[in-house]
Amino acid sequence: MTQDRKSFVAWLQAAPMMLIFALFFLLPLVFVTIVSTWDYNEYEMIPAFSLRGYSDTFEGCIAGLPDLCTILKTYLKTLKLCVLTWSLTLLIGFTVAYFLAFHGRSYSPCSAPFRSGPRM
Amino acid sequence: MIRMIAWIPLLGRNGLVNRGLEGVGLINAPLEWLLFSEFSVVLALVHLFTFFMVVPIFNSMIRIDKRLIEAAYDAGATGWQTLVNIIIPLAKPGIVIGSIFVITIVMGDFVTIGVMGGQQIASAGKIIEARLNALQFPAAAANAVILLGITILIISSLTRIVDIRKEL
Repeated sequence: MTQDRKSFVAWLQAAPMMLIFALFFLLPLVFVTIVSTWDYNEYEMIPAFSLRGYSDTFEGCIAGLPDLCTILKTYLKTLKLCVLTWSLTLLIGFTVAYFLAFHGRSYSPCSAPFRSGPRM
Repeated sequence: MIRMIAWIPLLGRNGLVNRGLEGVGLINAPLEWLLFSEFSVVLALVHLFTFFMVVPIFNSMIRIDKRLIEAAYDAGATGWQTLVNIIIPLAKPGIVIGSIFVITIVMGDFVTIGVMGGQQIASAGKIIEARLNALQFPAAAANAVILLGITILIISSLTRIVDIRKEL
């Protein structure tokens, strides 16, 4: 089997997943990005290019800069929650995984699918 | 959803924790910061998503060759030195993958933050939901793009520090 044919078969094997990924993940993201640059009023969206979606979001944020506006405060709050949750899950997760991996029963059914390589 | 709601009767003003502490005599008035606060939000998020951290780290730890740890022990390394110099570097891909899971879920989450924060704590997902309810789809999409950009920025800087593709 030539190299070209091999890579073709590899692409063919990955194709179904790639298609589903493109159709149900990338395409909606592209649509969202497109819609985010549309104009709108109180009751409809207008398919014309406008950055009102972005400028309305940060309305008055630059003017009152020393004090953070609500949107920036909200994003900072989300980031804070994210950092807190991330550090706590990392601490707890690492400890739990450590004890499962090195002090758990070596042939527990839970760890069987993860085992590979030489065993001691 | 249920694991999240289950915290409410536990942490409420007349919940198990407050009643227990009052019964023991540690506090006179119920603690107000237990429920519908940042504390309860973080508690629920940690409870819900620790699993996503444990599985990838466990997966990369179980692949560590036990002979390396024995070799470190034979060379006279203390337990702490083994942990810092061998186990953490070899478990790094698992740590990064778990971090990616947790960070993306928490950044986009608005249900947990809404329920556990008593709808008092704003989050980036909540902004999008509010915009959608106001039928301002372009504004909602703009917020979604901003949130996506921030999340991608965090994750790409994480993968910049640890190259997962190379280490897997």
